[in-house]
Amino acid sequence: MFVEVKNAVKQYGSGDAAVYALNGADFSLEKGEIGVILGSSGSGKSTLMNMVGGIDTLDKGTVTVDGEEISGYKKKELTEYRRSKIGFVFQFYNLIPSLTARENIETTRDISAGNGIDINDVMEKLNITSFADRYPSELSGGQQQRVAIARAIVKNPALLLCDELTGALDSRSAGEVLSVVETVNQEYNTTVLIITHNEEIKKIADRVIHVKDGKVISQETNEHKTSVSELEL
Amino acid sequence: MNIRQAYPSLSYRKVWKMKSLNKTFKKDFRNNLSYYISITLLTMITVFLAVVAFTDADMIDHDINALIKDNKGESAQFSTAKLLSDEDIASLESKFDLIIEENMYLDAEDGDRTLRVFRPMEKVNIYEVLEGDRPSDNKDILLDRDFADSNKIKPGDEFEFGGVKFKVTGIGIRPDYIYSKKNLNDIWVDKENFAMAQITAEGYEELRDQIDWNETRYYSSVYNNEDNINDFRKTLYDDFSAYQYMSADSNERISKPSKAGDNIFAEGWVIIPLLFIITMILVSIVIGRMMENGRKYVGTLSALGYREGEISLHYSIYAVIPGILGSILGIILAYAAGKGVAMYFIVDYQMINYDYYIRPLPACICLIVPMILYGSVAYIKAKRLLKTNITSMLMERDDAKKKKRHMLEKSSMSFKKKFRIRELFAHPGRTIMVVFCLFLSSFLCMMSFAMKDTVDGFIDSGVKSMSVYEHGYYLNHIEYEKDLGGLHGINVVYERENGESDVTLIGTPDNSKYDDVSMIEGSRSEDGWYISNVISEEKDLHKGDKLTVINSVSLEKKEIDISGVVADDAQAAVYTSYDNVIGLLGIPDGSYNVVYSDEELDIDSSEIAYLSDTDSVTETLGKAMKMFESFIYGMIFMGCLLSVIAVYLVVNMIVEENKSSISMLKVLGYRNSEINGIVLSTNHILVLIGFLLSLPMGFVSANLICNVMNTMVHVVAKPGFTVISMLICAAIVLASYCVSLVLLRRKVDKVDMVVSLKGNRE
Repeated sequence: MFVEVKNAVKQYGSGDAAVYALNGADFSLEKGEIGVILGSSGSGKSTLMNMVGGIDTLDKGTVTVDGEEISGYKKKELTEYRRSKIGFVFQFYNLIPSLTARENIETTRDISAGNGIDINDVMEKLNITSFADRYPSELSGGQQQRVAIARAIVKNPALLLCDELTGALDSRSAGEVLSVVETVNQEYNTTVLIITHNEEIKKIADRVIHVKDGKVISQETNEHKTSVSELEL
Repeated sequence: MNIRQAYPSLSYRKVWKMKSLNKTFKKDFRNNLSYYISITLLTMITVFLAVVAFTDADMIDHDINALIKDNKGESAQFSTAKLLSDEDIASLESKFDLIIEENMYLDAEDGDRTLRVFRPMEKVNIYEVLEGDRPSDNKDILLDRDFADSNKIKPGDEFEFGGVKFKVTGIGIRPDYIYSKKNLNDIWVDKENFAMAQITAEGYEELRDQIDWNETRYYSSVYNNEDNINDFRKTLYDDFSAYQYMSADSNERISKPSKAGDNIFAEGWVIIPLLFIITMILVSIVIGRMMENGRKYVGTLSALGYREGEISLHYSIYAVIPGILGSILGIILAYAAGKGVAMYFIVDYQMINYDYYIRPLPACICLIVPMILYGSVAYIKAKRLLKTNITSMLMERDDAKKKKRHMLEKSSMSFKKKFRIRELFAHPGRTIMVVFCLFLSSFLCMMSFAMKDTVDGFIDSGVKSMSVYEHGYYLNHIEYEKDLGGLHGINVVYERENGESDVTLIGTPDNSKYDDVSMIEGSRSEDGWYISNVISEEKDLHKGDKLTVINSVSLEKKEIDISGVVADDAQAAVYTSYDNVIGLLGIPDGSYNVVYSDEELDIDSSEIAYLSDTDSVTETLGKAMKMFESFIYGMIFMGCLLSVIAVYLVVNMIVEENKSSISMLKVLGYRNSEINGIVLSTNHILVLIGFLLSLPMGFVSANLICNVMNTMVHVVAKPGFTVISMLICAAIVLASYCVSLVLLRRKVDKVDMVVSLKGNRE
């Protein structure tokens, strides 16, 4: 398995105020697959992504990505892990406001250890070139999300993590963005893990994982995977 | 459900108070802890300095002058050839509305130490007991505090001098010896070796026979009516053949301490308000930025229906808290340490029993000004912020800033450089403040070093000016008969018009080294009158101008035609031939009161008022410089502190405002060192700009220092600011800048990836 999470536990607070964001979650994903984690707000899906992405650490359990068990990693090792293997896309894009679209993409190209993708190719594929010199505040939500995806993939990550990437977009932009993700998955064989509460998106997944109350309640292979163009967003 | 919904019976005001006091403040305080600490600290330091400067100045001024007044400190002292009888004194006192009393003291030496025992006076210069009791027995003695402290002598101890044993009954002070120079011409006080003592009148008579004493007598007077002074002096000269007269203004033992408070006050007025204003501006900017960072919360309150006035007032309270806290801490610190700081200003003078208490006026001003200013800034800022639309506030958008970021889009420069440049230009207020703070700290360091270099330069030139000969023996009388060896000259102090500082007329020996003293204007001739560079600079007098001097005894005026300017940077003097001075004084040819020699001469100490040799002048000036150094280091420390706090505050702002970008860079896999390199290095260039801007000011301040030295100390110093000092300044400023960056590294390290990402949107 390319991604394997076993018995993941994450607790916030202590005593009576303790809240379990993850309470024994398990799931796995093969290399090159698109995984979709579904769940309602507060179910623990973002926490799960943070653990896989090395942003946060587990209290119990293990996370293995590309053969590396990262759950025991220290801060510095996690930084190196994120640097070399992970690409992130967030609901609110998280672009650096004082940098243009191109410069935002350059932020990750600068730290890709030689295996990055040509920035112009990525921009062309994602239709960014025309607004490359604009600042995030001058772009639409869809455009910003495309820049965020370009920033994530330009270093050619092994795993692309997308947290509610269409949550702030209208249906047309959402379709465009998902198409980009699909393209990335197909062109670069990038494993993709999408977190969403939009049931429609699960149709493009190879694997669908349902999360509730910090637990994975179901994990199934999607036998009827469709392309983004067929989605009704 | 919000609070209003939960508690519908509560008014908005009550709800708001509940929120702000119980919840928001704690949260805001925690989030902005470093700001609050920095603002509180800056306020505390500024208030401390302001309160201490004005309290100390007032205390020193009041207590010293009260002691002089209460103990009838003399207005003048004089000596007459014809002694004044009791009847003469009574007659003069009644005629001119004044008090006269004869002043007597005995000097004895024991090794390096000199003991000056005063006969107690009853009408003028009455001694005050600071500790212990008055002497009552013939062998009782009351010592001055500086000598007693330097030699660890306490009341009740036994004190032996020249084989005579005394019992120390107390510690005391005379109003005419608060600046206790043994000789008025001494450059510095020697607390360890010069003792002043009071004993009983009977004990004084008894002592005369016991040790080899030199007795000095003169009259001291206190004027009740200043209009009579000139008539009185004329009477002294005409009827009693006065041969020496010195007003309290010309007597450094009295004039320096009595003006000390005024001087501190004058210096305080230059530095303190400037520092206060700078701190207030800096803090105001920081408060403004803090509020901008919290515009989402302002937007939320606005959306909930809170009135503008309520929100503005709410934020004013936030800002007022560090102001009040800093002010109170500053005043407490001033209360605890202010007296200690005062001792630094008056270290030269005898330690009297100062009554230290915080002066209410500066304390009230310092308590109120930061509070009003910070509160007003926050209020105005909040009002301004509330003019933007609520959605923009909620979305934390700032359209004005976005426009400012537009630059270098097409440049091939790395994104890191672009980020830094845009950060600088997108926040011009912040950038100007950083430059200003760095400029100010550089300037403070430079001013300190300029002072040091200037004074160092003066010591070199001053020693040369004062040491034409290796040894100068200044006699305590005019010698008419004996030849004491060496070359003979005559020095006499003349007054100037309008109460200006006295001038020394130096009658130089013929065919001496004085003929070779370098000239700034004109050339030496036998009949010429040459003013020193000090007078020339102070009064802008040059060759061809006239200078009026007044004989302090006869009050006769002499108008001097200035023939040139001598390169003497150390004293207000007029150089002329020996014959000219003899002629002016009307004393016999061959009279002299100074002996110059390059070899050491064997002259009886009883004949010498003071000695001047190159080594002792250098040593004394060196000692003076040591005292000065502590002031310089204090200034440098202030500069560094200001730099560290200011840079910390501003860079802290940069970190705070870029939290989401930092967080994102972390998520992308940037190492902390790389993030520090991008975010914290934004201001590096400003250090250089601030430093370069302060360079010309360093030179200007060196010139100002020279002007002050010329006006207040009556010496000419050449402005000096060496390359080494410049480099040290640069190193100090850079080091203090680095310290603030190191402190901020932790802040960057602590930026949380998860929390920051949640709030990031534009």
